[in-house]
Amino acid sequence: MDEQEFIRRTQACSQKLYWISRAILPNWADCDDAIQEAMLRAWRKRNTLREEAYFETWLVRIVINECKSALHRGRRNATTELTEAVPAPEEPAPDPVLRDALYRLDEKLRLPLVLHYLEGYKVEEIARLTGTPVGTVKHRLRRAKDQLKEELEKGGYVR
Amino acid sequence: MKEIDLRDAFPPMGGQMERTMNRAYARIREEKRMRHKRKITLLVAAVLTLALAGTALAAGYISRLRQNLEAVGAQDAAEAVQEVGQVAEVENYGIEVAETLVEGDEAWMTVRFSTPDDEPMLLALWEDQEGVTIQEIWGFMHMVGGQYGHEDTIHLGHYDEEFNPKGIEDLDVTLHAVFLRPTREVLPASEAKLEGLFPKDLPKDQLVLQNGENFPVYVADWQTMTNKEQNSATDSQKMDGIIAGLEQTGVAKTMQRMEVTVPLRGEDEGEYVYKNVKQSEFQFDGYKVEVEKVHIGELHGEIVLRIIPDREMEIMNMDNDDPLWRSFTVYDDETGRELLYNGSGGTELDENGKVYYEKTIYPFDLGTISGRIRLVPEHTDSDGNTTVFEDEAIVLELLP
Repeated sequence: MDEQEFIRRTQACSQKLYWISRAILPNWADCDDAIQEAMLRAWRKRNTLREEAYFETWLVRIVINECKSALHRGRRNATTELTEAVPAPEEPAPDPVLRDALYRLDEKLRLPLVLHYLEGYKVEEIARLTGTPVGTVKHRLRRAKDQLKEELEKGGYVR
Repeated sequence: MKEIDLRDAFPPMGGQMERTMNRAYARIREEKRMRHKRKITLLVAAVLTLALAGTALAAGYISRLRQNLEAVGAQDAAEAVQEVGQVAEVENYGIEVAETLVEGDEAWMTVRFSTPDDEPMLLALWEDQEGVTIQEIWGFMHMVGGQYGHEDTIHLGHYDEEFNPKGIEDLDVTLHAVFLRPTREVLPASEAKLEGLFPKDLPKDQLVLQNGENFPVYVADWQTMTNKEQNSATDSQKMDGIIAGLEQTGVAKTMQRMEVTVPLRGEDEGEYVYKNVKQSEFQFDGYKVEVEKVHIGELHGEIVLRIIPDREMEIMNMDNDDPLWRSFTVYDDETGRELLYNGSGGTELDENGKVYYEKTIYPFDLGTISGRIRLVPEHTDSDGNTTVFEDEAIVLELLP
């Protein structure tokens, strides 16, 4: 896969990568780092991808792994791992109450929720993407919906 | 959930994602550019065409061609744009080293082979100027012609007497190439009928010659060596033995032999003060740590560690955990100053499919440091509990 093809394919799934990184990492600066690292990793390892038809799934997995690593690094080494200058002010979410409620969920619940309801992944696909048993994904989706509903109610959310 | 639109929880993708993607592409291009900068300018100085025309028989003959490197200094070499180097052509057989890339202790060469026919096969052996075989990491035999095309990338590693990776610096590498014409069907090992004494577990991409009697000849019965003793001149003898065997069994005949010497120049690592460590392996109860790479300069550096368990390790995913998936706090061992770094970690597979954990540490703002750095491992489990393993700290004694 040459550079142009790599760019074409990665751009085609940029929206997906955006939602997924957002689902795992609350801070855009971390998403930015993780996506860049994932892209570099994917570029370096592109020759290990045996079936190009699976490029998107493969890239999504890399992004998920990078974001997870960033999340753990952030927990462990918050004072030593951040080199970036103060990030530019971020554009606010259209619905800050929903945003806050969503980020109060554990990341393990948040990610399947976003994968399922935003990206339309089936439960089985989420299970494969995240290396989680199907039953666990189903359970987490249920818990995620319940907890999100609770959080929204606590925040006086009315729609 | 239908009444809730999760998209409203996030700012629209807009320009920030586009900038992120563009920065990633820029980094990819920069990485490519830096790799190109380290490539070697290859020039043709002389092409000797031996007047040994006619039939090339088993003994073959050797045309020794030497390629000269443009006289450039180390700094220039690091910034030289690589040129295509026509290397050798004899009796319609040709070898062209299209480009080379040197990175640390490994090198890649894109080599184009030309043959008058479609089916010849090439065997190759690489040696440095002292006659020590350079390990070819991804095999040794290259098919050329027909469906196999006329271009291949050769991936080389250079090792010292103790088989430790050795930086490629000012190294002349000689390719001993033998064009063989198979007189039997050539096919992947996975399709060959491997019976009798022949191993049934050949790598699937291994090419063999089937001699027509369901009795394959394992052509590349030549393994890259793993120590200097084996890596000595006996390799070329062994290659000759293989070729003689192929000819005696009537499955191939030698069409042409060639030798080409290619100068390799290592990357310019002047910015790094330390590039080696005194001890590169640390054994602990149940696992070992291998130091894969250490580059330390005043501004930044890179340390790559491999944590290799004695047991099986799972591939990292979202929900599993392993106490050996570790982070490190890094100190200047003499001053006690904590060194700041970015880092990443993840599971990788070795060549045998065994899972290990690789941690990459990118220290920054290092300034002047002593020659010893201490890495103290820690592990944070999925519940956020951190355990520090002071007893399993490693101290790297840095060497230039």
